[in-house]
Amino acid sequence: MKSCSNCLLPETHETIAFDSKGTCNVCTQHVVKEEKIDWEKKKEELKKLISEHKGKYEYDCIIPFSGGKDSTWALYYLIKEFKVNPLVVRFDHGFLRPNLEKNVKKVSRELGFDMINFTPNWKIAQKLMLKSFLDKGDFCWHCHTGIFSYPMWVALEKKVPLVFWGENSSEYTAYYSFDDAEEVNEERFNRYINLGITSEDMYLRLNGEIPLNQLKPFTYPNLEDLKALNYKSVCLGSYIPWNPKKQSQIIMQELGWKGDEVENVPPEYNYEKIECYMQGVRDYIKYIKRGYSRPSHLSAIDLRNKEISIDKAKENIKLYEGKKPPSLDIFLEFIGLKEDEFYEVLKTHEISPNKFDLENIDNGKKVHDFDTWERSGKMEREEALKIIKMLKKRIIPKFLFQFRNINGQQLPTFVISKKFSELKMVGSVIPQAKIYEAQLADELMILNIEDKQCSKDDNFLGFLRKFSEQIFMPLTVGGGVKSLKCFEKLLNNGADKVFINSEAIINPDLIKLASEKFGSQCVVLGIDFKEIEKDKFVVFSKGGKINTNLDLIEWTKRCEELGAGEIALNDINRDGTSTGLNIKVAKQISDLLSIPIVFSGGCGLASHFVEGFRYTNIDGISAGTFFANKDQNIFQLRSQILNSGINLRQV
Amino acid sequence: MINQKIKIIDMGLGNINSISKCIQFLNYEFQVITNPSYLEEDCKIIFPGVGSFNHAMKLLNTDGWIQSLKHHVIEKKKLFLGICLGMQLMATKGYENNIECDGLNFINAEVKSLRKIGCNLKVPHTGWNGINIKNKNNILKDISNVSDYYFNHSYVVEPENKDIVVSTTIHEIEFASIINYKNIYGMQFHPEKSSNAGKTLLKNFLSL
Repeated sequence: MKSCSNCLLPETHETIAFDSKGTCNVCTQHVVKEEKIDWEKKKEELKKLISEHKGKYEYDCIIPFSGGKDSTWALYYLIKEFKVNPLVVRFDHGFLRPNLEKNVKKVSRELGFDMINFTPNWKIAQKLMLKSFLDKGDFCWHCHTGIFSYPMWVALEKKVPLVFWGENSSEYTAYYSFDDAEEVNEERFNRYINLGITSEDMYLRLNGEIPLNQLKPFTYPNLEDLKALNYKSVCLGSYIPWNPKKQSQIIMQELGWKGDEVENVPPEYNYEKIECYMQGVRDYIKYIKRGYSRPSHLSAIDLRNKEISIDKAKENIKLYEGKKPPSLDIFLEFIGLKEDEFYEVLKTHEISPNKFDLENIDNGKKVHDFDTWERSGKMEREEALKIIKMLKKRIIPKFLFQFRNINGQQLPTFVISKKFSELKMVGSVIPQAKIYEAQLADELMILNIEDKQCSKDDNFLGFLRKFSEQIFMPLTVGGGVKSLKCFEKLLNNGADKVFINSEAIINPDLIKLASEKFGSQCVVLGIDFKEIEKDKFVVFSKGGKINTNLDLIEWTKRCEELGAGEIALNDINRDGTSTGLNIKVAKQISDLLSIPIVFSGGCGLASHFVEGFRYTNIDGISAGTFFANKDQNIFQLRSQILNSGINLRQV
Repeated sequence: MINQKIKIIDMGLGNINSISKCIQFLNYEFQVITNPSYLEEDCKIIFPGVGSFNHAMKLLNTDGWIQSLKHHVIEKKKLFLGICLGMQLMATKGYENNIECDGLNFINAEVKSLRKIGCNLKVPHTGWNGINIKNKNNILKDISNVSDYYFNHSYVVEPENKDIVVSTTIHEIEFASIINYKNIYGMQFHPEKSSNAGKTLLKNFLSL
């Protein structure tokens, strides 16, 4: 990997860009900080800002505070230098370490201030951690969003407009430069704090499992409300030059603040990130994704400040970086994941060109207070599984097949239907299948709608043979499947799975026999249903012509018991209408059964697919009209589904 | 066409078409065989399989397939690739439909139901899923670690010796998705139905 000639940060570092000399933009920015900024003038601005607010509200300002070195310094500096009376707000992410708690006590007694401590609901925090880890490879969403949102809610409630944060982000990244007045506002929150997920998004990603009002601590307040308050939310680091090392020494001497050992970090950096006992895991994840972690980050700061040599930096990196932290076990218990799954998830979040290799990983050391870290509140595996839903959803174009006589030639064509009638020609099957294959459909389904026993339909079998010679995709075939012989013929001529519908209703034993002989994985039960009165769903056979009076739910259960390996449902009322899937039925059946469910009938918009996958437990959606007669191809559909946080196959 | 003798075993159980045309697409010559006598000459053997373990073993028991396969694969060390059920049949024993049944015993392994070994997700495991590489292997040449493959099975192979596991896949339960023991290879997914990544794997086997 390419890395900065000055601070050694690699090209996988967020926002990094190199100039012609190979120096990175964080380093160049640093020169701006050292040389171009008139710190005297900045301090005057600070004075003015404070005097504008002092004594006018219940508190002079709000200082969000973790107990770490930066927020402690901000607190110390503002109280000592400006005698402010702050309201200190602490967001407890759930992993505060014993020494940190002690520090907070010392600092609060030494300086004297009012403090609000907020700890969000652990059971919610766990789910948020798991989901943001799965979707973004970063489990700290609840902490990032909570730390920056919660104090703003307090500002609104207490009507205190001035909020002081610690250091500038330009110390470490280039989201903002030193000459920008970096306001800690919604823009900054959206630019890099919330991982690209707002709480509304999180609500949807978790299928509504956590009500929106319970996500309030993680939601940035309305801009209008903040403006009405005349809020001013700034970094102290914009007004005074920030020097973590020096500042740590001062708070150690003056307040009795103590550093601590951190997993996989050189001991001389005992003042950095001592707050959280998941820090080691966070750092390890960064290493897996980006190929570097805290030792590199810390060395980079020191190199920029010319406090260590390149050799010393390299040695620290070599000794401490890329070790598996003992806290990983605790983390996995908290989010209900297995270690293999942990790596599996991160594989999809790797930042190119980094390549992680598990083989070269050694175990890191336990730190001194490891055994005191609270481990209760493990996540039940079942809870976790609900959120994981690792299996990728399938998009399945469906061909209603017919031979048509065109200019004296029997051609294999495909049609679409509306409510199982009003057939409309779409085109030729094999060329269409090639299109769907090129556009990354997951499977295809061919249903012969001519009522012929398929084992004797040599024309159709011949077509199928030709089809499977050209299309290398998983294929389900049905229509006229009446016997074991039909299964055999279809499988031998190119089907991977066989779709059986009407005959199974007359002769349910066929399901059992077929699954014993061919394996249940290739027996797909096709079920066509109608809502005949409100909430009464009935199975129809013979292409929707005959009401069997079978209750839909009972029949699906029966099919599973008999050995069906998949159920493909088709909603006759909605077929071809583009009005959206019947979510209620899809949900009921997919929650009830433990075999894969493919649902069909009503998809006319990409959002119908998204709703189907989001609100139910179905595994695939098949459709005819959507793919044939809408101006949105499968590739586009895929991106919309993926953007909704739903998993599809990776190519 | 690369002139290499590739024999695809056809037991009349399932789709031989896709695999053979996929091989043709890769520019290799092949022959679909329905009788073990065709294994005599120098060749590579591909054994695709759809069906149930017991039923397939019953078929293998006729026509002298078992002895012949053992002779050519174990003694003559011909390169062998079992796909899906074809991979499962290489094991010592299977338990499909609760019937204990001897397999070909090419590898020391048992075939077990995903459900019975603790999988709470949907079974059959149908659809696209990734692989985690466990042991380096020539079959993985040019394979990226993010591509998905098409799976359609309810049973998995549990080898005694974990060193033969080239890759695993997770469907709540972690199971062997590619195995290799000496001249014997197995893939639980369908490479012939798995887009370009699947074709690459097949090509790698053919060029071993």
